[in-house]
Amino acid sequence: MAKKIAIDPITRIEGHLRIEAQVDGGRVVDAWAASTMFRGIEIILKGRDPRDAWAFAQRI
Amino acid sequence: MNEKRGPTETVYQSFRKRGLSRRDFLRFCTIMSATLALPSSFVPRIAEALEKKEKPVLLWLEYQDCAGNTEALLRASSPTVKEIVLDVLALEYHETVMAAAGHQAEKALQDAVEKYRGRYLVVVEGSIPLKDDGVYCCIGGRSAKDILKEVAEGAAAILAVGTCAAYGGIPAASPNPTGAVGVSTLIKDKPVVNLPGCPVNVENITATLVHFLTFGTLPALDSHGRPLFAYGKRIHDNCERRAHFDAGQFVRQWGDEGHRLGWCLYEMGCKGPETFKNCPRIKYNEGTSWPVGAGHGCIGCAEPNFWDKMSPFYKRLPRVPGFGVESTADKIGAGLAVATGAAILAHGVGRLVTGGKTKREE
Amino acid sequence: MARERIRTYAWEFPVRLTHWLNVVSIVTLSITGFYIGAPFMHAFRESQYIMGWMRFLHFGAAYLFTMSVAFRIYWMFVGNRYARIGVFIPHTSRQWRDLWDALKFYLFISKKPPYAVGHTAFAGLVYFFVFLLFLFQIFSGFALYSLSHTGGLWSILGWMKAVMHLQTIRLWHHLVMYILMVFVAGHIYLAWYLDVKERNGLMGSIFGGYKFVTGKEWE
Repeated sequence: MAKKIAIDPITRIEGHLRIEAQVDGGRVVDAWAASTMFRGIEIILKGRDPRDAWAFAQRI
Repeated sequence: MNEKRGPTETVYQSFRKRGLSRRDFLRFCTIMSATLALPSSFVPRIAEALEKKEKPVLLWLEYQDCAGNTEALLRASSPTVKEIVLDVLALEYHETVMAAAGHQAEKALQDAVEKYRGRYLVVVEGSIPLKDDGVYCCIGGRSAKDILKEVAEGAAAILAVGTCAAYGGIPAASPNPTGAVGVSTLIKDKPVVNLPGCPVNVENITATLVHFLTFGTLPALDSHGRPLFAYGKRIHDNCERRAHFDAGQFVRQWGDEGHRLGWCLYEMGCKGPETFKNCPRIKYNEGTSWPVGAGHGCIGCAEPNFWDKMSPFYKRLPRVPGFGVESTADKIGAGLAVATGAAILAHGVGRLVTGGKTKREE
Repeated sequence: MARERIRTYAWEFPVRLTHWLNVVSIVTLSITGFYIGAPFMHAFRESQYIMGWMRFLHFGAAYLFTMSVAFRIYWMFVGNRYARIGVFIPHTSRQWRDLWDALKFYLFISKKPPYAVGHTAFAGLVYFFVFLLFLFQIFSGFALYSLSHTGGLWSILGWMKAVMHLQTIRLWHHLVMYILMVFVAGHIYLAWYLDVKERNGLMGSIFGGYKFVTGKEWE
């Protein structure tokens, strides 16, 4: 009997993650990973002095 | 009175449980007293509070963060700080370290909120997005905005740890695509302490908590909501390279003679003169070093909007809006000087051309 | 036949004194201020104190400048009619007409120079804005200075910090220096130019206080 489970939040990782899995008879037959947080660092980087880029990118 | 109730034993009790001596405990109290900029006569009072009072229950919420502040907390390599930090706090919820996941994790949060309602402290790391109804950060299917509002309701106080939680930080840097804000923009009816830094110095967090335990109140704050004991003095006024600044010895290029001799990083864009934090005094990683000590200028990470106002990091002044990346105030000044000279020249020439005779009676 | 020239006392002593104090202060503040923003000299011995002296001179000149501007503002209310505050804010129809005439002269549309015993309406208006720039420099300077001082007085003097971000204050403190330099260049040039045109001893008047007017100024 297929069942869809969701684990959100995934803990003991850096950042945020949502995992959904289709479980059938004790086996995972399909799975999805979803990013649950967005900041737009690339958008923020546009137009800035390139020598500063490392500081922004480091905070990803 | 001193009965243990699970995680809420006293600080002293958990010190002893870990095999640390009373001397280690008193050393910790002395360090805390110094960090809080209190005279040593306060040490017995701190010790008494940590012996008698229960450890504060802490719910650590992470939103639009990079977990840098958590890493700073955990990265402590020497056993004393790690144990001290984990012993001082009763951490009931922290997504980066807790065992439970998914439903169980969310249940742990709900249970803690109910059980310790009115008494728990909330630590927020990371900013909260408000755009599009807060959809840019969701945990367990609920937006960060909603979770924070609910958890904050039963909190005794909130610590906004890191510049993102304090003022919006990097997600709030121009053009702020997700509408990120700091905690105090959202929560207005609870005491909020801002502990900015990118990441914040762990000892400032610990000292704030110890202050709360000892005196029952949050420490005195400045106009940006930051504790004065940590953010009251400018880095520039406390810097070990200040003598080189006053002398006029500046690093001009990375790796030059001056850099090797440890000269002032003013010309490399150091934002020490603009920043208030105790980095030069307590340093990072148990007093190992700090950016200027390591040879790189301060980027002003404890100040609101520093990503926009302190950048370009290698120039002294922010970009003049509308003038492009390479413009600096001095270039604009030079441009103005040339324009003025040209105008004066044009006027002088114009006078010659129009004959120079003015209407006057002879 | 040349008109008779009447010797008129235009600029009182406090006006001239504060003018020259401003000149000395602004030159000092600009050179030291430029150094503070972009150190153009490096020390070669640890015992030197270049930045230290530059800052000391800058702060000393800043206090001098503040007192000079403060006194001049006071004098705007007690001085003679050429020093009064009304000179700097056009409020009469005569002043508005004079302003327009002056503009036409500088743009070579008219050949009639703007005659005035004191300041022309145009000059008065320009000086009004220059005074605003002076006040900005003084208060932004105090805001920056108050960073290393504690106490009630300094939070009052440093009021600008509550209104603008520190880096914005700093940026405009630098930029206004350049704007004032543009003004100084134009000021000296026009003073020379008008001295030639009006032939009334304009340049000398800021030293001695007297102008030699023809009487057309009262027309």
